[in-house]
Amino acid sequence: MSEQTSAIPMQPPAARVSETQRLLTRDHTRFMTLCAGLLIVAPLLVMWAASQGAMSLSLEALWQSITGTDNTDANLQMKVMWEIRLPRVLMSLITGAGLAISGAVMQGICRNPLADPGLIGVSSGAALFAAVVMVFGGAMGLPAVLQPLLLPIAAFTGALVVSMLVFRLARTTSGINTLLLILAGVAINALVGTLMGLLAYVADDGTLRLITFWSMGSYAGANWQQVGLVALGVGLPATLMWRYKTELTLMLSGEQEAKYLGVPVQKVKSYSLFAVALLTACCVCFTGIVGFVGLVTPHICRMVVGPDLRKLLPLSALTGAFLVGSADTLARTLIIPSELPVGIVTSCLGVPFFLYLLLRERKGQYHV
Amino acid sequence: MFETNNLSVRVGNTTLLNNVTVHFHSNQLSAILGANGAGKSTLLKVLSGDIAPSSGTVSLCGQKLHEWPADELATTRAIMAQQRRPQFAFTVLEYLMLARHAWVESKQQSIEFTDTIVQRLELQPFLQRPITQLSGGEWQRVQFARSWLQVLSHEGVKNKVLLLDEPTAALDIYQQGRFFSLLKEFMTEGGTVLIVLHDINQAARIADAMLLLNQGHVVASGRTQDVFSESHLNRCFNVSGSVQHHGDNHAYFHYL
Repeated sequence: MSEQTSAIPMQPPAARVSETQRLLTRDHTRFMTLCAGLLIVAPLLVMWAASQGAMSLSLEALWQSITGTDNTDANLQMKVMWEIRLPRVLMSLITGAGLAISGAVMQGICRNPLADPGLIGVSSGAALFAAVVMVFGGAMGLPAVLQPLLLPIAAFTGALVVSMLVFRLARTTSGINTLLLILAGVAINALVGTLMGLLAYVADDGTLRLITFWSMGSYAGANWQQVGLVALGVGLPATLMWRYKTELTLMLSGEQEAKYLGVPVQKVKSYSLFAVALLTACCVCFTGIVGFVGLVTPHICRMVVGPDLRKLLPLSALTGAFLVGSADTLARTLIIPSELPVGIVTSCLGVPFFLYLLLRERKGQYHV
Repeated sequence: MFETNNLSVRVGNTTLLNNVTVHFHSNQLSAILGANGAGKSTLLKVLSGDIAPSSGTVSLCGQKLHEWPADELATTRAIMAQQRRPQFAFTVLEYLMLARHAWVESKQQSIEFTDTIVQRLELQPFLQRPITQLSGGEWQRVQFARSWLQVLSHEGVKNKVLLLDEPTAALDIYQQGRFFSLLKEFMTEGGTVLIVLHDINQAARIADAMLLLNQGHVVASGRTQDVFSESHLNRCFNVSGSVQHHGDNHAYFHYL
């Protein structure tokens, strides 16, 4: 082949549509169409989700309320819409997006498609500190009214303390070692599990029930202040991750190789892991643990757009928002007037999918 | 192009490389040879910047290796190490394009350079294939294309260096031949190649220069015709044999 091809000059060829260009344009168009489609459907999802629930809301009544028509029922419907439904729907969308992108980044850093943000102990740390407040909050003489305030603060602190402990254990002289990170994560998660068991043992029945529900997540009680805080807590780390999207994509082929291509691997890894911890802490502190979103969403998206984080991050954010938004709507409408913990719904969707992935891996067809 | 000066690498009480002083010239294909544990891969790791020498220096184009800015280094030297294939199913095209990360250039320029390599290495039929589904030979070809693309500039690959660690270990004899012809093409564009090889006869066929290592010491270094001798090879590998010549430019070592 050398004789045939050495005639081609090494200078870039004259401008024309090459196969490379054609394929890249096609992929880009496909990706942009997909994102645009999801963005167009998003407001419809929000409206549908907000209209569902124990109290049925009519567009007519909402309009009457907006236009100031004196109608008590319409005003009540507007109050439900504005103060209960809308913050809840937005909260589920934001945390869904946040959990999905931290999953995508975590799987990238660990170079393992089965990694999950919970691996670095964020979720279990949050659950542990939350459980401590639930069990000992009363004993410490805290008034019951302070508990709702203290719970998210404790969960947020717990998430960060435990993940920092995992990072500390995984740190070597040359930076955070990914294999050590996974092992330290497994060990610390097991330790936290034991402590949770101990707390469950000393807790009374009512508290035990609270702990259990918290570990399955719920968006009930979301308000605008929380939505604002979580939007900020998801937005800032997500911006940092987006800044490193290309570097993180390069690291998927191995840290060594990324270093050869000029990527400051340790810096990118440390910042990204911190961003994952912060983002996940913000997502779980008000709502409890919503499982499987961080694991499953990036997988589904990777099947569609491939592993490149420049496409995977936006698509995972949109898909995660959709999944959790829909799951929460199902959770509060399936058994009206009661409601299911949202974690049960996401797990019902996530576990079969996870098993499907495992079975595919067993057959040696695992190529995501 | 690449120079080491009194380079030593020690880990605990073990000396992996001892006072290695060697000069790899530009636009030459230099082979690093030696028995198992001679220090070949250690030397390559030091040249790659993976491990810091215990004493001595490494310079690339006259500048100390550790003083090179990461981006500039990435556009000057590429490394094709023995590594596991990524678990993530990038398409060949995506995988190739990532090689332009360190270059400050427009997307259009990246595409044009990629296109040049794709045509040059006849990769058009593979572009959409996931890298996880390539055969051993195809994967090697794609990795080579990526390394080439990483250092490709408007001046071709003049003053660029490619480091390879046992690139043909997993290839059959036909694929080996194809691979070495690609290396020759890289050389004709002005590139410099440093390659760690096990097969000394293969090295004798392709290398302009050789470095023979034994237990971390340099046994001999220089032009292939000077280094590839019975006494050097016997000392380097502790085996008896004779060098036989075929035609003007082709020698091989025959073990006894």
